[in-house]
Amino acid sequence: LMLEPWVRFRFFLHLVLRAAFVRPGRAALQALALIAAAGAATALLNVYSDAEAKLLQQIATYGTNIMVEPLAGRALSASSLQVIDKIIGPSSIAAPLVLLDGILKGGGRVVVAATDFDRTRRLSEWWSVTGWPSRGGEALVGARSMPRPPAKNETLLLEIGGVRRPWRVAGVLTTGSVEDNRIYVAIEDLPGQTAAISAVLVGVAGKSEDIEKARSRIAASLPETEVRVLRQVATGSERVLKKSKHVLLAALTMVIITAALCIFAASSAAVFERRRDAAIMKALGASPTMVWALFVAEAAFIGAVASIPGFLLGIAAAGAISRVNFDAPLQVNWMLYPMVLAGCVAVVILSAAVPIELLRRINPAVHLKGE
Amino acid sequence: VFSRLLLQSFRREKRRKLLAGAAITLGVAVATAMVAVATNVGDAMNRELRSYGANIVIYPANESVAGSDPGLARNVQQHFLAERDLPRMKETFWQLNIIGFSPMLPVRVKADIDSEPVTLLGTWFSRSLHASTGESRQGVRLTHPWWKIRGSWPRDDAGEALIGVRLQKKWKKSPGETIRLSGVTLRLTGTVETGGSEDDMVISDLSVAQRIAGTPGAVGQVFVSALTQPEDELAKRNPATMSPTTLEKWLCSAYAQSIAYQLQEVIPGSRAEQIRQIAQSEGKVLTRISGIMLLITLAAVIAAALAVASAMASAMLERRREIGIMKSLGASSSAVAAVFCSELLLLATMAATAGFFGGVVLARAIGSSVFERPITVQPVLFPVVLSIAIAITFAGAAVPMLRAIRYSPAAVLRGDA
Repeated sequence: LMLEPWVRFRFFLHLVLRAAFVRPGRAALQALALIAAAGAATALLNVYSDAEAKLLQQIATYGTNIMVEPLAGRALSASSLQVIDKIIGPSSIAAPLVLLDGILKGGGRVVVAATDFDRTRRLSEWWSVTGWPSRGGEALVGARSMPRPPAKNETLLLEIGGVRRPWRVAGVLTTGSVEDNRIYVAIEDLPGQTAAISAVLVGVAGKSEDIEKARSRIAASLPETEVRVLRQVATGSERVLKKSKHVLLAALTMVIITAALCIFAASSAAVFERRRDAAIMKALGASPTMVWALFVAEAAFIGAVASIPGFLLGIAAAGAISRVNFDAPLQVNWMLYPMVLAGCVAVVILSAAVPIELLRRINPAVHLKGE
Repeated sequence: VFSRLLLQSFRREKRRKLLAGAAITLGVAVATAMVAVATNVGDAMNRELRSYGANIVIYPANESVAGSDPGLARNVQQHFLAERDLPRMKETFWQLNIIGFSPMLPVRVKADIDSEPVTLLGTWFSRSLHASTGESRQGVRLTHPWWKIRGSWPRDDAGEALIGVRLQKKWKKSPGETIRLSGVTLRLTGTVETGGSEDDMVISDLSVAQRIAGTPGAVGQVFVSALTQPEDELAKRNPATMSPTTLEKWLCSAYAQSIAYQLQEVIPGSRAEQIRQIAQSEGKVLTRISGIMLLITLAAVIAAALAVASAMASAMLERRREIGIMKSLGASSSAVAAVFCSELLLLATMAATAGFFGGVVLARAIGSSVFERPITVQPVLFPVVLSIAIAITFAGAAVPMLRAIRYSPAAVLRGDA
């Protein structure tokens, strides 16, 4: 049978495609298993690639991980905050802090911390606050800054930098740490000359490399400062993140193994069932290589077609997982599609290859006689 | 005849049985391991979260100042806790949840080589503690694991100390040298870097700080590192306004607040509070990780079930001829079904048992490679996994089997079905 290569190819293609349509039930069962497997693998791969960003966002609420302070005898300029803002980018946050001595009416000494409430609120989501200041002249009072915590809306007479004025209590702050000792007020409410920044607190959302990078860039841009990484938050986050990724990776591996098993079970049986077809082809003069190529191409075709709905299904599942678990939309990673496609086709071919070896060895006469 | 049929089926069709059995074994192993990992991940991650260090602080009830406020040296502690009360913490209901604690006493001291006073922080490094419930080791090595030490940790009660990195730069003292603080000589074993106020301190034994301050047996505050559960609505309620049953439930839940509450009860004159930055964020991370593992386990179990069901469906499809022959020889539909069902039952039981033990091994391997401690699989999981595996095996085989039984034997044998 001497045909033109192009004609031979078209005939080959025709056989491959017909196989799917002649036996729709069998092909559908195989495709269904493939879709489910590709879907599960896609969902997990997507969750895995997105989880790091999501967990980083969660951990970012741990608050300050870098502290910028002026060197002894120097002061932080008002522009230093803008410099830091530019370095850390919009996903991270920096808040200025001015620490001052204050005197309450009756002589009690307190620590006054002046800050930017909008920034502090974003940086310190973990604070327990009964009410944030929203207008000028309001104060947030630490639970242990005074012998008796004041009531909301009470007025405090507080002297800062020699100027005594009334402050309205917007709420009480509890953190279990040094913040409890302080009375927080807004920087713009401070009298005239007192607003030399004592420190800038920075919360960098990122891995320890990102934190270290931000630290050295801030130190290089603001030479008269000392920039320190707060190790408790930075090291803790790093370890927790690493473990989370590892456990997800273990889960991912297991789901992918199961998905491959699912495809293997469906594909290998599908090929094995077709001993008769192979025998007929061989009887008609097809070479073993031709039979093999035909079945492999068929398997690859089904694998490639099934990977598309499988991928879309997986994206939908990953989106649902992300919404349920992280209350945030999924960052879809479309670059995963080539991976899923290649994985599907590879596993299908591999699982078809084992029975195909048996098919190649078939003696058509013996098989067609039914022995 | 029945038992012979069953036996011969396994003996003669080794390849097919092995393939179907392998699918069930692998599916069950993955499902078992995933369920075990998902149910243990909360506990394991909770231990990992302890690398953040202490999440509860105890301080004297009358003291208005929490720790030292960096930048302002105004804090002179007036009230103290008693060191002798500390072992009681390991005698409470939550003794197993308390991973460690460390007492601290900061005092202002004068160094021979510096005109400005510095802070000496007295604490325990890793001291053995006798409580009525047993012996344990307590100290900053457990509660402050993020401290970066260069050199070695000091031994307790050996006149040794750590020096903060910033102070070390100022004094130019290296490990091995001695320093004299308010008349006490201490040998430096290493430097400590935390990024916090400790970088400007000397850290030594609690007894040294007590001697310098002239307050024997006094403790400024105690840092506690405890395994806690994430905060929910009940956790946030005020115990003072709860009904007795609700209070009981609150006290028996490992919230940071309820552990703090009970520590406060056993240490006279104390107040205990969660360190919110750590405790709150831990809860958040824990909830997210447990949630995601649960969802992934669900996906894995569904994938495993599908794999087993499709393997069984394929295996059954292959055997239509056999059913045809049996029926043409006069077997009733129910007799054919009985033979095949028993075969499936036997196969599923054997394969699922192997799969369960495979899953136990897999879970252990994951536990020791990710969390450095094995994950245990609850034995109660076995009957559950077994019955689910059998159910899925039958579900997968049911449709092709029933269809084959319904066809006339002639059609099946001719190959028309």
